Amino acid sequence: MKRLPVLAALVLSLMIASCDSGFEEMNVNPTQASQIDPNFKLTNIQLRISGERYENWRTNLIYSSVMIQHFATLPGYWAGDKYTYIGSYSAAMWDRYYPNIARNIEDLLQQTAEDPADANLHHITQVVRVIMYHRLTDLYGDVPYSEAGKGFLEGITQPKYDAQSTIYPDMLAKLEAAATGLNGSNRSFGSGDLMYQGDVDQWRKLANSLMLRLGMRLVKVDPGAAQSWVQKAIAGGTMESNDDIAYIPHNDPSGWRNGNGSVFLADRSPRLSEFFVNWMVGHSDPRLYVYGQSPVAGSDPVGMPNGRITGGSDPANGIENHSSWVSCDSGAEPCGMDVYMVPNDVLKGQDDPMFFMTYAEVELLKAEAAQRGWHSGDAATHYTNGVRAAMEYLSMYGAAGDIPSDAIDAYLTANPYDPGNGLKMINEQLWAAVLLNEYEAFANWRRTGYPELVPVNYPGNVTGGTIPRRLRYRENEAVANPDNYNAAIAAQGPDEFTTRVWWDR
Amino acid sequence: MTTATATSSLRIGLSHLQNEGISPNSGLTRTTLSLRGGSQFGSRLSADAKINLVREFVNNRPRLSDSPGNANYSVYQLAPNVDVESMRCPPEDEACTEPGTDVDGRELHRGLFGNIYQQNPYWAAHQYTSSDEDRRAIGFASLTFKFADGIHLMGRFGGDTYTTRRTGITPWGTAYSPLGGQNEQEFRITEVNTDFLLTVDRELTSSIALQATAGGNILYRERETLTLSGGGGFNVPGLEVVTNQNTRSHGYGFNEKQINSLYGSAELAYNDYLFLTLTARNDWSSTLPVDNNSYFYPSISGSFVFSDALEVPEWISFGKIRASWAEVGGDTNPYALALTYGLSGSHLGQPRGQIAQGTIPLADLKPSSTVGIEGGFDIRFLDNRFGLDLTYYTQSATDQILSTTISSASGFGSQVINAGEISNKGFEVLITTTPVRQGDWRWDLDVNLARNTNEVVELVEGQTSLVLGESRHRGNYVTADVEEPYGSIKGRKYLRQNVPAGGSDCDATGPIVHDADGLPMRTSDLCVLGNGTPKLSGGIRNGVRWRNMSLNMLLDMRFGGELFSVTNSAGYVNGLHKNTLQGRDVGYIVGDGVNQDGQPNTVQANPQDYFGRIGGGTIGEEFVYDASFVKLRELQLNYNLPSRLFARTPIKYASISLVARNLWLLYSNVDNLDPESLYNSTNRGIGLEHAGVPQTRSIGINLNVRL
Repeated sequence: MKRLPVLAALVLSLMIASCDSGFEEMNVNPTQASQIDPNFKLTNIQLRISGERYENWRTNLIYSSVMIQHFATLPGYWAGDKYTYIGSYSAAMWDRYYPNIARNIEDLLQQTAEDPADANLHHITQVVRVIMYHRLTDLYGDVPYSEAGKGFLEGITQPKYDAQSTIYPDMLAKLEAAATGLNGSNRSFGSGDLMYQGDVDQWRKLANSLMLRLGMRLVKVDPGAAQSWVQKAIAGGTMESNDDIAYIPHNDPSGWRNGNGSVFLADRSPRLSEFFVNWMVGHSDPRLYVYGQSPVAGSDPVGMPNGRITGGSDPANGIENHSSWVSCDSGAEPCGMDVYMVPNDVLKGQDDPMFFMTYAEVELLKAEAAQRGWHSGDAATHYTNGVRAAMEYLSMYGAAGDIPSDAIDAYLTANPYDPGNGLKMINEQLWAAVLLNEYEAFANWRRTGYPELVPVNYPGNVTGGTIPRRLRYRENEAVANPDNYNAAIAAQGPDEFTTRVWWDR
Repeated sequence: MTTATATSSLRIGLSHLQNEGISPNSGLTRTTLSLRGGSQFGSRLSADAKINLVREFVNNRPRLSDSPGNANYSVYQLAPNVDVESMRCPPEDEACTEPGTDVDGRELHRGLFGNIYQQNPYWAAHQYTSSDEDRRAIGFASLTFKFADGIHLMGRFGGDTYTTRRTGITPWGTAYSPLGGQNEQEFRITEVNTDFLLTVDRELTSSIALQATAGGNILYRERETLTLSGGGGFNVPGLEVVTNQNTRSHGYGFNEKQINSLYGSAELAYNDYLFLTLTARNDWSSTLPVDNNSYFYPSISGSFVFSDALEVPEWISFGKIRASWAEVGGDTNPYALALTYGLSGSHLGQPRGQIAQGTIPLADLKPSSTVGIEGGFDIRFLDNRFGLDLTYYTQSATDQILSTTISSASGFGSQVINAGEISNKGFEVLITTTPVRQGDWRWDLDVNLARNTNEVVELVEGQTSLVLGESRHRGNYVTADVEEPYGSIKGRKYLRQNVPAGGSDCDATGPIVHDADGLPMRTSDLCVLGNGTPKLSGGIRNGVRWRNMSLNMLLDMRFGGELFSVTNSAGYVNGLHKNTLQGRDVGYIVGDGVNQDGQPNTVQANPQDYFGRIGGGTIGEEFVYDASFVKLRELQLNYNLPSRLFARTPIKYASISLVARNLWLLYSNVDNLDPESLYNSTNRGIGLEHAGVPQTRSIGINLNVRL
C-alpha cells in the first residue's frame, strides 16, 4: 500500500507528459500545402485580375462604361450613367483586387526573389503587379501600394496610402527593370502563364508597351517625364502585331468565366450609347455592327441617350415608351426599348478573351508620341496601323467579329489622318478601340479630354452634373485604416468623384 | 416505454416533431428514436448506455439581409401600390400552380423596377430551395465500479456523429441568374469523448461532509466537408439535379482537434450550512502553439446559510451569503496558426493555387482566459413572502481569441488576435413577493433586473478600435473601442452649422446644412451614433391563483442600447418609410436648415432625391434607434381539471391552458420594426438589423394529461 501514492504520481506524471503528444502534427491542415509551384500562383493571379462578375459589373460596366458613354442604361443602379454614388459599387475593384490579389502577388514576389535563376519569374510578376496597381491608382488616386498585401509577410494590417506621384515612378521603374532584366536564357513560367506561356520576349514587349501607356499618362502633370518614358518604351521595343496582345483566354466552360460575359448573361440593360452610335455612324465605322446589333433586324442604328430612367416624373430624364411591366429580355416581342442598339452577342460571351492591352493602343500611343514630336515615326502611319489593328483584333472574339480588310481600307480612306486634328482623332480611336476595357477608356479620356463627351445632369447626381474624375475609396477604410485614410484625403482632396487624381491635374 | 427489473432497466422513446415556419414553404421535421438501458452486475459493477438516433429535415431556413431568396426582403422593398397578390400568378394563368412563375417557367415580373436583384417574393419563397437533412447518432456507454460506499470510479465513452446534407438551388429563370445554379454539400461531423471520474463522497465527521472528484477527458472532434457546386446553369430547365448543371466543381475540407483534460474538485460541507468548493482543471489543446497549449484554471466558491447557523429573528425565514472566484481558459479553431496554400480548381488545364487564408494567422497565439468574481446574498422574510436575491459580479476577459476586420488593402480581410481585455461588471436583483396568500387566493409578484457595464479596456498593442461588423448599406459599422462598451455603432451624422473650432464636425450644433441642390449634407468625420449593448434588462412576473385556476403574466423590458436599421434606411431610398411622404403631394421639399452660406435653405428639392440622399446608409444618424422596449412577453391562463371528472379513468391529472406570447409591444422607439429584430445575437451582429424574419405572436392552447 505504501507504494500506491508513488505509483499514482508516476502514472499521473506520465499522463501529463503525454498530454499533448501528436498535437503539432494534428494541427497541420492535411488539405493544404506549405508551398506550391509559382505557375499555380500566377494562373490564379492573372485570372483574378481578369476578374469576376462582381467588379466587372460594378466598376468596369456600371461605373466606367457608362461614364465614358460607350453604353447607356436606364436602371437606377447603373450609377455611372447618372453620376450617383453607390458605395459598394464604387469600391468593387478595391474589394476584389486587394484581398484576392495583393497578398498572392507579394507572396509570389517573395518566393521568386531569392534565387537569381528565378529572375524572369520575378520580373513577370512585377509586370503583372503593375497591371493590377495602375488600374487601382487610375481609378482611385492615392492608394495603398508599397505596404499593400503585406498583412502576413510584414504584419502590416493598416497599410499607408502612397501618393500617385510616387506610385507612377515606381511602376515605371519596375517595368524598366523587367524590360531590361528579362533574359531568354533563364528559366521562366510555363503554361501556368495564361498570357504568354512564359515567353520572355513577349513579356518584354508588354513591359515596354505598359511603359508607353503609363508614360503617356503623365503628359499633363509632368510632360518632361512623360516624354522620356515614352521614348524609353519605344526604344525598348513594344508590341509589334496583334499576336502580341495581352489577354487572358476564357474558353474553358468549367474554368474561370469572362467576368464581363457573366454580367451580360444576367443583366440585359446596357444599350450602346447615343454618343457612341452617332460617332460610329458619323464615320461609317464598320465596327458598328460588331460592337452593336439592333434588337429588331433592319431597323436604323440608334443609340440610347445617357442619364435617363424608365418613365419618371421628369420628362427630360425619362424614357417614356418602356413599361417596366413588360419584360424586354425574353426576346419574344419587341417593346419600346428595342429601338436602341444592344451590345453585340459576339462581345458578350463568357468564353470571350479578356483584353488588358492591345497592339492597336500601342500604335495609337506611338501616333500621339510622333504627333507631339517625341518620336521620329510617322504619326499617320502609326494612326493607320492602330485603326487597322483595332478593327482586325475583333476577330479574336469570334468569327462574327471579322471585319473585311476592304471595309477597313475604305474606312481609312474616308477618315485619313489629319495632323491638325491629330490628338482628337488618335484618342477618339483609342476610346473606340478599348471597348470593354472601360478602365482604360476612362483613364485615357481624363488624360486627353477625348472624345468630347457631353455630361448628363441627372437629378440627385453627386458631381454637379460633371463626369466623375475618379471613384471613391472603400468606405470601411474610415474605420479599418482611419489614420492612413484620413491622411490620403488630406493629401489628395475630398473623397469625391470630382477630385482629380495626380496625373489628371 | 419503460421497463425495469431488480437489476436492469430499459427505456425506449420515439418522438416526432413537425414545425411549420411562418414563411411559406419553410419548416422542420424531426424524428428521434432513443434507447437507454442500465444494468447492475453483482454489488460493485454497473453499466449504463444510451443511444439516440435523430433524423431532421429543414426546408428553407430563414435568410437574412438582401441575400437572394429572402422573401421578407422582397416584400419589404415592394412599392405599396403594387399588390403583392399580383406577383403570385401571371394574368394569363390566374390559377398557376407554381407561385411567382410566369408562363415560360421564369421568375414572374423579373427585373421589376429595373433591378434584377429585387425578387418576386413568391419566387423567392416557393422556387428557391435551401434544404438540409441531418442524420445523427448520439450515445454513450459507461461502467461504474464501486470500491466502497461513497467511492466510485466511472469510465465512459461517448460520441456524437452526424451527417448534414444540404442542397441549395437558384432556379432556372431567376432574373439575376437566368440559367440558375445548384450546390450540394455534405458535412460529416464527429465528436468523441472518453472520460473517467473518481468520486469520493464521505462524511468525515458527523458535521463535515466531503465530496471529491478526480477525472480526465479526451475530446476529439473532426469535420469533413464535401461539396459539389454546379456552374454555368441548368441544361434542361426545371430539372433540378446537380448533374444537370453545365459544369461542376467539387470541394473538400477537413479539420480535427483534440483537447485533453485533467480535473478535480473538492466540496466540503459543514453542518449543511457552510459550503466550500474548490476546482482545478488543466487542458491541453491541439489548436494552440505547442509551447503554449496547456492552460490551468481553478475556482473557489463558498456559501454560508446564516439563517441555519446563527440565531436570527423569526421574521427572517432564510438567509444565505455566497462568493466565488473562477477562471476559465479557452482555445481556438484548428489551423489558425500557419499560412498555407490551397488549390481551387483549374483553368484551361492549369491549376489555380493561392494563399488559403483570408485571415492572417497568428503563430504565437495564447489561450484565452476569463476571470470572474461574484458575491451576493439571498434573503427571505416573513415566511418566504418577501425575498431579495442580489448578485454583484465583475468579470475580466483577457487574451480573447478574435478574428477582427482589418484594412483589406493588407491583402486579408481579418486577423486572428489575442484581444487585450474586456471587462463586464454588474448586478442582478431578483425580488420575489407574495402580496396575497389567503384561502383560495394567491398572488405572486416577482421583479428581476440586471445591469451590466461593459468596457473594452485594452485591444491589441497600438490599436484603439476594431471593426466587428459592417452594415450592408456601407459606411455604417459596429466597432469595439478602447474605454467604450463593446459594440459602438458608427456612421455619419447630418452636417450641422456650428462646427466647434478645431473640433470634429460630429460635435457640430445648430441647423442642418444643405447643398446647392437643397439636399442635406453629412459629416466628413465618422461619428459614434450609439452602442449596441443594452444597459439594463429585466422582467416582471405576475401570477394570480384561485383554486385550480391561475393567470400568469410576464413583462419583458430592456433599456439602453441602440440599433442601426438597414430596413428603414432602404425605406428612405425606396419611398417606403412614412417620413418620405413629406413633399410628395406638391412634388418638392424644402429641407429645414441652412445652405452652405449659412442662409436659410430655400431650394426646392425632389423628395425622392432628398430622402434618397439620407437613406442607403448615407446619413446613418437617421437610422439609429434607441432599442429599449417593454413587452408583454407572455400571458398564460391555466385551469386544472377537477380530478373527479376522471376518477374512474387511468388519468391522474389534466390541465388546460391558454398560452400567448409576444402579445403587445408596449414601449418602443424603433420605426416599423421590433427592437429585437437584430441579425443575430453574436458579437458581430450586435446593433445591426436588416430584413430579418419578423417577430411573431403566438396564441395557443395546451392540454396536459398525465396517466
